[in-house]
Amino acid sequence: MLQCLAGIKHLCASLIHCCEPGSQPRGLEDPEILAGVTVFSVSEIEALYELFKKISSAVIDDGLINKEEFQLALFKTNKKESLFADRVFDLFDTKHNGILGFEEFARALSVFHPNAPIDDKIEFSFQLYDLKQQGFIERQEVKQMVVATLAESGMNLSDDVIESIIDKTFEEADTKHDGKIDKEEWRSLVLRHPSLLKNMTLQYLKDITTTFPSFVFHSRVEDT
Amino acid sequence: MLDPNPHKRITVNEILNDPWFRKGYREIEYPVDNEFDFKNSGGDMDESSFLNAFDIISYSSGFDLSNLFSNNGIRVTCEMFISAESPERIIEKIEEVAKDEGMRVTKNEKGIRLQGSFVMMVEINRLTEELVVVEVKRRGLGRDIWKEKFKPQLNALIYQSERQVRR
Repeated sequence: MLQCLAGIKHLCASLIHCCEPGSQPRGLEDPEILAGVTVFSVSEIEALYELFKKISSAVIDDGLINKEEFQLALFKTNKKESLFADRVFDLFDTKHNGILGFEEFARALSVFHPNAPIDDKIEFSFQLYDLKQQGFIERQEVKQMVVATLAESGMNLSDDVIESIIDKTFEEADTKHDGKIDKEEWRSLVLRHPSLLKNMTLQYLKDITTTFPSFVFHSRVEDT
Repeated sequence: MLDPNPHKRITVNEILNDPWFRKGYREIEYPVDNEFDFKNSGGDMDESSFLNAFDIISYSSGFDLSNLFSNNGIRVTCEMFISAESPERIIEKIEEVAKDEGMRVTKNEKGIRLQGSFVMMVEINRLTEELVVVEVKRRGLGRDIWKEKFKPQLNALIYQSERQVRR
């Protein structure tokens, strides 16, 4: 008897959910909320969600992006390990549970929008390069990243040349001469060399509503 | 063209080369988007405009999220190499091949852009007194032309380092 009641209750719950007026595709709750806390408009959030669905269903269709799906989206192969892609993934994963939900995805990508405040970009890039997350960028971390990048792109440089390039970089950046680059020093460096932030802006985000137009079928935005 | 037998039907290549088709035909160039715009060059090549360690790091493909947005057809492929040659010499070499292939060329002192059935952009930045970093971006078909015509010419310009890196 009890089981019967539970069954009916479950059935009713499903029916009610089904009949909710203008119900969103599973997973995208109020896009207005996300639009409010990010640089994106509601339409852009909806378009971003289409991208998210595409990436998150590549390996396991669970509405979440795992590390493998992220690598696949970035490199078109899941065989490529990358120190940098790992770092980016970790920064996106603010809940530190090894997977990216849409909220984490949208909030992180918001920093890459051309209209995002430069301070956010400076902050994000600093954390990206601060491999050990100690609040400063060490010389050893810089060398590790330079070596990894060169290896990745098949470029060859002798150790001497690499050391001298890093020396010159620290000479310019490390104004406090403590062997590390802190947030303030990073900020000054980047304001002098804006090209260092080039990866922090994705022009594609401005046109995302045209790249992912299928959102029009689900949109809650009124036609004006 | 209407031949139901695919083996006897005219191929796209044959159509493109047929005089009837070519009458009044204007080849549409692969479109250039802001990815292939010349960046504002920072003035003279003095020491402070040499690439620094973070410039090198930002070349990493793992940090470049733009590929999240691309479908397979319109991906930008990026290749880089280091050269001990002067930027002028490198640009000259590329221009030679491009003209042979009938591509449209635009250039400035730091780079060169080629347009044809695909678009290719080469940007050269100074790393040290002796070395420059050459970045080649491509979009569209043309992988074969790249491999067969451009790459062999450019391979001769790649800097070979003698010693391996100590970790």
